Amino acid sequence: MIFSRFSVVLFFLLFVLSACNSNSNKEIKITDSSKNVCKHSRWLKIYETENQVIIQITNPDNPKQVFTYKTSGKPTNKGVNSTKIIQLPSQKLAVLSATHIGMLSELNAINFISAISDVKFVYNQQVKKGVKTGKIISLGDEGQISIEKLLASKTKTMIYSAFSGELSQQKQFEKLGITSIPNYDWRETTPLGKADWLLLFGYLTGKQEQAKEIIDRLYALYSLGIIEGKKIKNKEIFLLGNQMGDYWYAPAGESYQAILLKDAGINYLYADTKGTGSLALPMEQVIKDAEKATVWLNPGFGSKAEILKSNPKAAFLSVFQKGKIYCYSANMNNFWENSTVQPHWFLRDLQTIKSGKTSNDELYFYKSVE
Amino acid sequence: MIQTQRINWFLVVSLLIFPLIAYFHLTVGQQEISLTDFKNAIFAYDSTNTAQLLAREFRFPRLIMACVAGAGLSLAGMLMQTLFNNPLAGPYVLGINSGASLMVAISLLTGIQFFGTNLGLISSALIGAFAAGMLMMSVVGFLKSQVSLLLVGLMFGSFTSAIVSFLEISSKAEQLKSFTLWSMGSLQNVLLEQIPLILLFFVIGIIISALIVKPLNLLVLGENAASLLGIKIQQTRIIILIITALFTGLITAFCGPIAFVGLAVPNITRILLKTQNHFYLIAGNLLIGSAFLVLCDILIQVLESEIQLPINVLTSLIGAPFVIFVLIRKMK
Repeated sequence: MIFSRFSVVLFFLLFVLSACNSNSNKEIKITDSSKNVCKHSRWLKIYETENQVIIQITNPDNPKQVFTYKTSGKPTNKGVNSTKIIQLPSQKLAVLSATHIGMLSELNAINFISAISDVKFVYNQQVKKGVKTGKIISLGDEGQISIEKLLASKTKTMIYSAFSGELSQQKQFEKLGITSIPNYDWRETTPLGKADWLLLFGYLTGKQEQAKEIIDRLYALYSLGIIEGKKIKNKEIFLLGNQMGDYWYAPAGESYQAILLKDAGINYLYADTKGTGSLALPMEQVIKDAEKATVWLNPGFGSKAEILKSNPKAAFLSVFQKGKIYCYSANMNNFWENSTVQPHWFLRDLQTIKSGKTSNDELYFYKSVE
Repeated sequence: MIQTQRINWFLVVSLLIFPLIAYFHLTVGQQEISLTDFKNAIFAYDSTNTAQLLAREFRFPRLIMACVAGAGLSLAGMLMQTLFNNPLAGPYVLGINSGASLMVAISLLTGIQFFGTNLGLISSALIGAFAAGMLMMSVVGFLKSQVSLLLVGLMFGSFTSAIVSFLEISSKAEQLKSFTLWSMGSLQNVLLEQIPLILLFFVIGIIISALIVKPLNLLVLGENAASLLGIKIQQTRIIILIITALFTGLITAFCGPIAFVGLAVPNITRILLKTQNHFYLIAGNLLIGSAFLVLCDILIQVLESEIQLPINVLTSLIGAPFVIFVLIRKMK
């Protein structure tokens, strides 16, 4: 008798276990990499089935931490990983970075924005107007968001950049029913990887098909840009960055900027270095290494006088004395909003500079520094 | 007599060792520069030769600035400690640096043209340092404990930080960038052509300090005793404040804030020399202060392939535990 009861329990347990197993197999099938609509992004994956959309965002600082957002099922919290249920499209979006505004603008979905961080960093005229009329609310810095203002904006979903990790008020936002989604586009190491984050905004606004079309067009335009760049035979040598404190910070050879330069066919001074972040170099080394540099990109200032004010020793760089200097600081907000979503414009700017036949009118983001 | 002899020996030996430290500092950078290049950089300069350019425009000014900053801040710290009769006093902890930083922030973040010049930057730092010194002087009479004075310095530092934060919020991106870069602190931004002006102010400060050795020696006995012995207390206080403001303002303007040197070095000097004679203390602070900051800068350069340490971070790493040590020693 006891034995038969034990058999029934055992059978039941086996049945439950096999059911769980078949469920996890289903999950594996759903998240099959061939079904991921993001082709270049390292940190964003979006899977689409007949029944649901699954958005998976990996934390670049801790790749074991995955934030999952699903349109159906149950929310879970397993260790550092979390699954949240999200309604798509999400009507009211708070976007805390200029890049996010650029992406929504590209999708013609500015009307989805309920809140931004600070109007000072906005280029888009529609958003500026929205802030002026009170339709869009300024929340302040990502680390110090005003809950009162957030509530007033009636935001349902918040996209943040996670520059300093997860949002400190995340738990409070959850209690208010606001879903917060980290956006690590700035941690991507390729221009097309960055552009892939447009798909996230596509799904959030219900304009996923339009987003896919834009992305396909961007892939094609960018690839065409690379081919065009190879035709420019000019041999300019590019120096990037500027001194901050005691060191000169320049993009490392495997970083987003270095890859963009490589795609533009540019001979970058530190192209052969390792790493996806920045190099911190002593100024003395830069003076020596940059003896043959003919173009200086991104000094961080719009005039030579301002460069010298912050780094007086820049005057000893031969490229400062004899070369050409370009920076996007003339219209910084335009650059941050649109360079990610228009990587082919960025690429073309670099190739125009490389060609040496430059007038400011031919450049989208850059201006020469005089 | 034996003690004076010991101090003299110590100072002479330090004076002999110092050129070796300075030479090591000149040669320690990542780029190799020969002795001939150093010689030519002074006597037969060719600006197209990179090694000579690095020696003349980078290494020499950096070494001189490290010496001036180390010596100047140490001397300012020593003067503050004597004035307040408190071993924990110093330009950083008493908020003199904060005053200078606040004025530099106002000059850089408000975009007032006058302050855009070198002289303007120095003037604003001097005004800020002097005003902060005056404020501390006016407060000190109301305080009974030495720790309270430090707390007031700390509060003043927080107060100026709050104003700086407010200015940062309302400033333009370019101005904010300039100020952020300045606040990181660096010994490298000084140009060779600025060195004569820096040395002029520095030498003036040392000469005035040497002229008030007697009042300084008597101030150690306390202000009342010094006053009975004929010292004009008010006049001495103002002279000390002017010298402190001069050193702190000058160094803060060119190198950004450098913490704890002005607190740690005067105490180290007192421990090593075991004297209250300010003639020796001035000489000792000049030598040990210079050597301390030059050695810190050497360490930064030796480690820079592994780790990037701003000068302010390194001096704080060494200085903060030292403050705790002095506090514990004092409480015993």
